[in-house]
Amino acid sequence: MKRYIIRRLLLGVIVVWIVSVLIFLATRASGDPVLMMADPGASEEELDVIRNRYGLNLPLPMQYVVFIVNSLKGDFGQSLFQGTDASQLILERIPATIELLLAAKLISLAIGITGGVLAVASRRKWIKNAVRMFSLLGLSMPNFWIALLGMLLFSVLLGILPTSGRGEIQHLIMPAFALGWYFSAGYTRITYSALLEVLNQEYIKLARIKGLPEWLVIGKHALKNAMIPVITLAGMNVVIMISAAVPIETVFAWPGLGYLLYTSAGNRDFNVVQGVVLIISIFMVLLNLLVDILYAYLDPRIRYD
Amino acid sequence: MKMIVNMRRILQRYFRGIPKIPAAILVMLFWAAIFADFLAPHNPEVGDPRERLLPTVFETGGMLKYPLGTDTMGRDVLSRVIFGARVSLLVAFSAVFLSACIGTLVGICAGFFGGWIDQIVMRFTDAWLSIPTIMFATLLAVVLGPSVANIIIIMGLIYWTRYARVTRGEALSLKSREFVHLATIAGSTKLRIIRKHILPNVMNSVITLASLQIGVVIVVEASLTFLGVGVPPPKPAWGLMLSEGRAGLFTGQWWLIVFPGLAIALLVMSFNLLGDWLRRRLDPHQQSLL
Amino acid sequence: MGMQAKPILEVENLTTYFSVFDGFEKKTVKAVDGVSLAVTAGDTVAIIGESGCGKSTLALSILRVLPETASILSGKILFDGEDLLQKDRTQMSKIRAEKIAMILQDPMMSLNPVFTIGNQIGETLYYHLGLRNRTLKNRIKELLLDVKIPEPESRMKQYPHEMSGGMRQRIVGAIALSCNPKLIMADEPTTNLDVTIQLQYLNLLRDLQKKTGVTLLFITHDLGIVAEMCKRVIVMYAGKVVERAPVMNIYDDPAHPYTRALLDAAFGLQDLSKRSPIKGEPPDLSNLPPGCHYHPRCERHMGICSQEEPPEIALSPDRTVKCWLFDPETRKSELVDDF
Repeated sequence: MKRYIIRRLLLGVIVVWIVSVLIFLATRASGDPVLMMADPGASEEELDVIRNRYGLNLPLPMQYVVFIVNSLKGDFGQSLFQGTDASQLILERIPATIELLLAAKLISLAIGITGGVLAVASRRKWIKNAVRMFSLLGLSMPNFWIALLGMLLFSVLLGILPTSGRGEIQHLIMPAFALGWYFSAGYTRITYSALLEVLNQEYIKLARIKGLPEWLVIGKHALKNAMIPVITLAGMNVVIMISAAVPIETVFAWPGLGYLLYTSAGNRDFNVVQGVVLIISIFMVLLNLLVDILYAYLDPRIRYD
Repeated sequence: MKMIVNMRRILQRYFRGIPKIPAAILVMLFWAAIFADFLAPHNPEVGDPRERLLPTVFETGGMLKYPLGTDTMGRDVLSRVIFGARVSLLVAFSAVFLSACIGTLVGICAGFFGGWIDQIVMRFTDAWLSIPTIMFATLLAVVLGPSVANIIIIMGLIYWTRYARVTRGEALSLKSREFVHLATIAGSTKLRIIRKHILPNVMNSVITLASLQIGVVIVVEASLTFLGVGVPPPKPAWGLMLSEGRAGLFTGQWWLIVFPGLAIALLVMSFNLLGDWLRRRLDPHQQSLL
Repeated sequence: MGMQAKPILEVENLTTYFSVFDGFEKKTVKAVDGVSLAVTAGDTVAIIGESGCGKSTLALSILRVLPETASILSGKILFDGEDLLQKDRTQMSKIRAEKIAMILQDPMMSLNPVFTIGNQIGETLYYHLGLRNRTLKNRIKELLLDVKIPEPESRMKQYPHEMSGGMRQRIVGAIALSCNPKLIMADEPTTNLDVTIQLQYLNLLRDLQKKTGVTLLFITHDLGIVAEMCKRVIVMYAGKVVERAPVMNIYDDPAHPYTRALLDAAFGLQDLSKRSPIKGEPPDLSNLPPGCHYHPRCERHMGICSQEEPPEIALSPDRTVKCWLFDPETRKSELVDDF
């Protein structure tokens, strides 16, 4: 187990390094970024100050070193729009995004797994078709459109849910649902196929031979085994969910990183945008690492590989 | 006469079991995209400000002239939706094509040549996959400036990794098959082997993946455009219609959001269903994804 | 069949079929075709035959745990006088484990890999007998000791993959015993075990039978087990019962040509899972030969064998055989082709 962790950590470090290089190159894609890092209408002296601070007059490899050093210090520059430290702005917004992501993940898993179980266990065709249609809709409708429609229905027409802001659970329901619907389709599909496969296993036959009620056979014996691939998918989906959260946060003015990204992009607040992307990416690599390790811990058979 | 019968038979064989409604919807949308200039009743980019925010023809105040209503600048919603099909389809297909090319190339090289090239490419792909797509696209859009060409390039750059993963796996397993060995012994250059043996066999998976990706790319493009970092105004993109129509929600102009979004949903749904059918045709053992 | 004691299990004319898709066609395959048998309480009976003869399906039919593709077409299954086919889901659930239990072939596959074995044994106790907490724990420990697994306290918390094959099969045995059933069916219980452990396991089962008086029904193609453990033997072929007799008769003087072929083939081999030392191929159940299903492979088949199905003929109060060779009328008319 320990060797497995160390190996994954080393690989993780390499991946983080590559991520930093990619982002670095992306920001230099249009040439000299100094004009993006400075206020419009800045004087030559001000531009020079910035050049020095970020080593922009140095050759490219050196620039990268400065970039890394600054990033490690947490210095992503000033928010051009707000004047404060970009990193501070970013840190402030993290809890809100985490809250949204967790809620959406829970909803998507709950809906997804239930859908999969229903599709397997139910005898009636209409239930299977309903599950299928629900998944298809979730995959096809852009999540921000779901959000807008939801607002139209629940806020404007019915007036039972608020349209923006964060605070009580009412504020969380629509954004979390709009974000989570898309992902529930994947969980439904995996639960469905995993359950079908599991239900063919001998231990399910024995569970029935033991005279256990059918709901227990499916709900306990089958489900726990079927969950392993679901969790794998859930782990892989986190990256996508973070991206998908951006338009959702925007529609609901949810004060998280996605909304910050949107407003900063609109204001051409380059430093903040760069900072957000970098922080999130590094975080993603670490998260993947954690999921791998967790997965090895959960499935006792993997550990001994 | 015989030729017509033959053609008919070929068509029937190739399109056996195709889900009809999605196919019809796609044909309609493709038609709209290609012949927009003739189908759309009005100019999608310039409107009459005197006739702004008119509701659909079914409501009071609506006119037959603007069946689906008008937006804040007096532009006809129906025309914009029709032209929007062109934008969405153009961007989506170009982006998918680009990412498939890059990804397949990288993947085949990694799988075929193996060794340290493979390791490097794998780490690279892992890294790329860790970067959240929309956020990265936003960054690139801020750096490069929004335009249709840029959004295609950006999305092409983001999605190549999926193709690389898949083709790498296939190339790896194909590499050790007999016909490759035979070709090597017979003196084919590596390039030739790749072109004649590996590539055709990988195509099935690539097409399968591409069919899965189209829906995703359309939605992501719409999202990016909605956020302002995709297709720039005044082009009639569905994402733009949604972002511009947002304000109308609170003042009851529901048609500004419902129709563009519906168009996206129908397009993506049809692609998803057809993609599913295509996958099952290409590989009967694969389970339906829906 | 002339039993003295009352039979605990009586199967009357049971037919179970599978729906199979052969390419695009739907076919029905009769895995169990008009099977009747009786088992006396406390007895040890073996059902033998090649793979695919329907013996496993028979056991699953009795417990009514058939897969989706299979269905019981007709017949009666009387357990303790009551027809199991008339029972509803809840009643059947109670009967399983509490009255009839089963041991499956592969212990690694029959135990759920993500739950501890204490959990898997305790389940039946929890749901059938309503045991809780300390009583539950103690009973689990008792059962583990009954099947000769030492240190039950620590074993309870282990997972199946942490134990040896022999131990796992004993756990499966413990699960079968947990609710004190009257009948235990064992489907190839030792086939997946090391040869050295097989005898141990059989002895365990025999001891448990002495202790509890449970009826044992072995489903096997291992003639070694049959000789070791069983009092009566039922031979199946292609879904039908072709011979039933006390074990000594089967070995000394097998009646049905198939039984004879089985013994000849197994002589010295002791294991029929190896394919066809018997002439010919195992039958294709979807395409059975007419008349007596065994006739293409039978060395002594007569004209009538390929035309009409033979009746079951009683050779003595406790022996029957399903073969034209033993029909007095036929023997007279086919004298020419006889031995």
